[in-house]
Amino acid sequence: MAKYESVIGLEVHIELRTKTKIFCDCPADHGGDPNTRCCPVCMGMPGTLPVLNKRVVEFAARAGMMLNCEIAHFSKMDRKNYFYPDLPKAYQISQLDHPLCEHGYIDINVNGEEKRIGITRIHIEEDAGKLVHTDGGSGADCNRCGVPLIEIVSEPDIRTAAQAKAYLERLRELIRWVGVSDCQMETGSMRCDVNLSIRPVGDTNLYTRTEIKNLNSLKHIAAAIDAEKARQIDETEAGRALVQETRRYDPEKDKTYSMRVKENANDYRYFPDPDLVPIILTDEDHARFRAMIPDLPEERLAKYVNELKLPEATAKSLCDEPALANLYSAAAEQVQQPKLLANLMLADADAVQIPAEIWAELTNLCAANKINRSAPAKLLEAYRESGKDIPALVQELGLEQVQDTGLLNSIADEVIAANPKAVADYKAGKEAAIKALMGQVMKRTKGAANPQEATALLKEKLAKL
Amino acid sequence: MELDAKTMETLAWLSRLDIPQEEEAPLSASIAEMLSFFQQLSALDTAGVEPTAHIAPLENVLREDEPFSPRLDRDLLLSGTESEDGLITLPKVIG
Ligand SMILES: [Zn+2]
Repeated sequence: MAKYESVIGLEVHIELRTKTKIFCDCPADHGGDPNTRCCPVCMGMPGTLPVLNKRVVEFAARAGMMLNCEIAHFSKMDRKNYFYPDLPKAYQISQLDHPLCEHGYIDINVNGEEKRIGITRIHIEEDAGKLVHTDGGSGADCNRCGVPLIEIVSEPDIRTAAQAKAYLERLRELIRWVGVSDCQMETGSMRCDVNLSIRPVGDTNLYTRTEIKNLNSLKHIAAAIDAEKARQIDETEAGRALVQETRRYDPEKDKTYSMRVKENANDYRYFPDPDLVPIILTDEDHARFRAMIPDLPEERLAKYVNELKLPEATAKSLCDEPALANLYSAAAEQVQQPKLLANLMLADADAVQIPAEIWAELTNLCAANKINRSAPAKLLEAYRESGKDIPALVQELGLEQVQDTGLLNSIADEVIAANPKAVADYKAGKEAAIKALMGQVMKRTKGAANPQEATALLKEKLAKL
Repeated sequence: MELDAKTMETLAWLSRLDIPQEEEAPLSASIAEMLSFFQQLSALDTAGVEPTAHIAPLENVLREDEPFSPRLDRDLLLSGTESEDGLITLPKVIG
């Protein structure tokens, strides 16, 4: 039996996928040459005034609702003061005592064991810029200054690296699902700091904790937790007192190191930002956000499998991409054959760019045998180019399926007359010979015949011979 | 209100100021004097008064999430600062 357990709380920063930054209308997405996506507001020049982006409030509230939080009716922005070269204003606009969301939780499952991890709070804040280190010195790029972030602070409910990993995976899944961020650790749109202390198993007190910063993958987070736990146990067993400090994890040595941040550096002198006025959210606002909260991903998956009768793999492929799943759900309401719809959508690499109505229309045309199964790809290509409506494109491209039974009848007769060998083989019991005849029918109709109908017709004619 | 040496040291560090020793006493005295102005506020009885977040009677000053202003040229943005290859020049920072 282990003598010590870890007490872990996680602070997760997530970039919100808005078009513009939190307090100015600079583009918020990644990329661009250094200092080409910034302006006097996000560079903190004197005389400028920040104005809060409405969608940041909406996105953060939706994230909070997805994580079972209570959403504030009154919220405000505060200044967090510190000096660092990536922070041109010398303060970060954040939230101290009235965060937008509080008291949430998510449920995780590790090796079959269910556990609820509390979420203390979610607040909105601006990101800092980026430092670029060169031989000659350091340079600052302000493109990321003012990109909207939410910081999600968990309760110290996590005990193991496996639980931390499960929590982060579930968090990522839910935030992506609610559609407010892509949560990619590789690109930095999701970042995690770990707070960790140890205590004897059975003890319920909290002891001196350390914070491990700048962890950029799930693997490193799990490894850092194990390494820091081992270090704290070693120190404690050796009778040395632990210091509350910030540490970093070196994956090569699999050890954490003190960052030797000067004592008192964390005196942020928060105060309400006088440039920004309170955020008041009414019950109507809450209801409006609530209406945008989707069912849980696993509920959606179950619905696809049980109600729409999709194979599990197909349903999973749809749910892997929240935007695709939402589009599919919207289109599925308008079709009789949801499985056909799913197959058509998954066959297209960029399905989310096509409106739900178009997907429904294509599916219904296929289902009614008005076009054949290879037509949708051609129609989508033409639709992307021209934007014309589908019936017009079907006409223009000559993709109507041959439904003229008179024409199909005569083509079948011709094919039977022209292929005595295949006919003889079929009559001799070689069922597969019908495929050769079908091939000829498809060739003569340029692929426009309905395969089931043509096969049935051929069989009928052959039976009479 | 007196400021002890430790508080002065902390304030100087937080402000990134190097205060020469001979200036410490006069500076400490003037900060104490400034603080005494604010101390007059503590004479007021604020029991039961809701904390005020902002002095202006405004709320929800928000903008749509739409790009609006034309982008300023980088050379213009960086004209007030030293820069190289589009980066703002800084003293060497240990990452
Ligand atoms: Zn800006």
